[in-house]
Amino acid sequence: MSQKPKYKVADISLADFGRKEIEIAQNEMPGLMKMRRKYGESKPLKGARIAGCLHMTIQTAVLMETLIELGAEVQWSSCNIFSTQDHAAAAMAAKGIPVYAWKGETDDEYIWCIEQTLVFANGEPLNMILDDGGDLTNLVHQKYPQFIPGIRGLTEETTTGVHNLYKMAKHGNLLMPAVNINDSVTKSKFDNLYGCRESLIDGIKRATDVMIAGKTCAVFGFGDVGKGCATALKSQGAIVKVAEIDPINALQALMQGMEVTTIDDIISTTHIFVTATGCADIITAEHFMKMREDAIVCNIGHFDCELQVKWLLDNCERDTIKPQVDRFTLPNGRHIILLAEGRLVNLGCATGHPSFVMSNSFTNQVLGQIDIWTNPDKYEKGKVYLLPKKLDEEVAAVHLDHLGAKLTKLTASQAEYLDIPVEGPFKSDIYRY
Amino acid sequence: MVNPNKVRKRHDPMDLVVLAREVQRGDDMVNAGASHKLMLIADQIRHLQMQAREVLKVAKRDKQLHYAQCNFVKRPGKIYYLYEKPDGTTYFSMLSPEEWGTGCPHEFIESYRLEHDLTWTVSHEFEKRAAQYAAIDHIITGKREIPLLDWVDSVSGDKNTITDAE
Repeated sequence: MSQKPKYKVADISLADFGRKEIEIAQNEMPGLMKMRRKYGESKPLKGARIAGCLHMTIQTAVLMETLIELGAEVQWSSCNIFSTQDHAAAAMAAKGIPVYAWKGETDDEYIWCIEQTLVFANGEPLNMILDDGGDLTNLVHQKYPQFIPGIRGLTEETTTGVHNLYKMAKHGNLLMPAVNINDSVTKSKFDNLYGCRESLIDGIKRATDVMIAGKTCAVFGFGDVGKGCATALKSQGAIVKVAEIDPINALQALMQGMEVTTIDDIISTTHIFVTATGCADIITAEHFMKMREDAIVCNIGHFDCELQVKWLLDNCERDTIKPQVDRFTLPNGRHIILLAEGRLVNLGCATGHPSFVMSNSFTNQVLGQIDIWTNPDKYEKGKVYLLPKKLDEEVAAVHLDHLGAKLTKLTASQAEYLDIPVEGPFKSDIYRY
Repeated sequence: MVNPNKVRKRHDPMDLVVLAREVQRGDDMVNAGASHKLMLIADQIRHLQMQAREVLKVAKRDKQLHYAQCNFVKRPGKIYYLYEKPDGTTYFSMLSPEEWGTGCPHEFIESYRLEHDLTWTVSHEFEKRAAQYAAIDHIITGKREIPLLDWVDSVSGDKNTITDAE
């Protein structure tokens, strides 16, 4: 590896602006601030060298500083070429945190950035992974297996990354313990759902300023992310149509008053396409050719493979309206508007989810990191774990005060009637929320 | 008494040959003066033409550089690194060849700094251009008088001095 720079960001002079936004975000992230108050003195993460690969945003900056306050050393890269907020990265770099991220990396630069986070300043390699999407996990497993024996475990943020972990575990390729953060209720039922409900529209609006009301919008996938997106579009007055493979999710969409149909039925009448499936080749070359003039196409799933962007790049004339907004002229003369080159539109064209909802997700991350680091014997290599329900409930609990909520307490007799402890956990593991 | 030597009155003022010679010399002097001035202007035109050609060349290069692929927002004052892919397309990277190390994916062409007027400065002129900007900055902020300015011609690279006389 070459001589590595202390950090690599777009513009270090943005640090002051970043710091101001971080300070505001802290107040909106009560879960993380609670972690600092609770563990700031005991420093349970002392000795942990965490390589993080997660959207380098203002919210992530609060997470990073929380991990540091809990005793860890961190090095960071972003898990998407467009998702970095340059002022957030600059604020981290200005504080001496090794961060390698800027908005608009090439694919090669993206890998370079992740590689810079593997070995720490004293020459020692990482011993913990905090990942979002699985790229760092895969890179270590495939290209840097020499570091694996020293790594106590990893925590994974998102649906796509978790899917990858279970796939690796099934085939015996996962060589360390992993905590599935995504499937904590306070993560996927909040960040994925309520986060996207606010940030999808933000991304589309900042990119195009298009009127949503009255438009026919197609949402592909009605999981947590798809639910958030469909709800947001509907609330703006759009006519929302959903495509699903799973009959349960399809029925859920219908119960929300949304038409469920296939892409071929709506391809030529839809104004705005949003993919949220986590699957590949949802919108193909043939589909692009059938779209109406200036149809808007975007993806909010973790990877850009949901759209056949390569076909557009290879076969259509591209006119970049502004960074992350491209208008393609199709071979048939019609145009389509592609947002964020098919990558996460909320992070590519806007600033991702709001701080408050990310506090829920990241508090789970902190708890996951602490648990693996301090209880290595509890975790077996090659297995994927969920955080205990009690912790999940605690994450939610520390976010209630900020919103002025008052929680009702169970009486002893009520607890006896329900046969659950007064202090929880209140639900069984099979409860679906 | 007037000394005829001292008042140059020894020749015959009515000598027509001498008068004709004087007129001829006057014409010659005027012609010589005019042609000297014209030559100066011609020189200046040649110099301006050369400068104009250089300006156009640099403008064309800057334009091409702005058309190089680039995913990030370019910020004035930053140095960016131009690479060429096997298919001939060029793109800007944040990373220098040294930072890439052995993993450098494409051929490195040159590094450029984006200036605040959105022109580009090539790597070997970084210091020179910075000195020019610093000098101009000094004038604008009133720390320095214009007549004392030593400046470097941005086009030819010649060293020039602006003096009071000019």
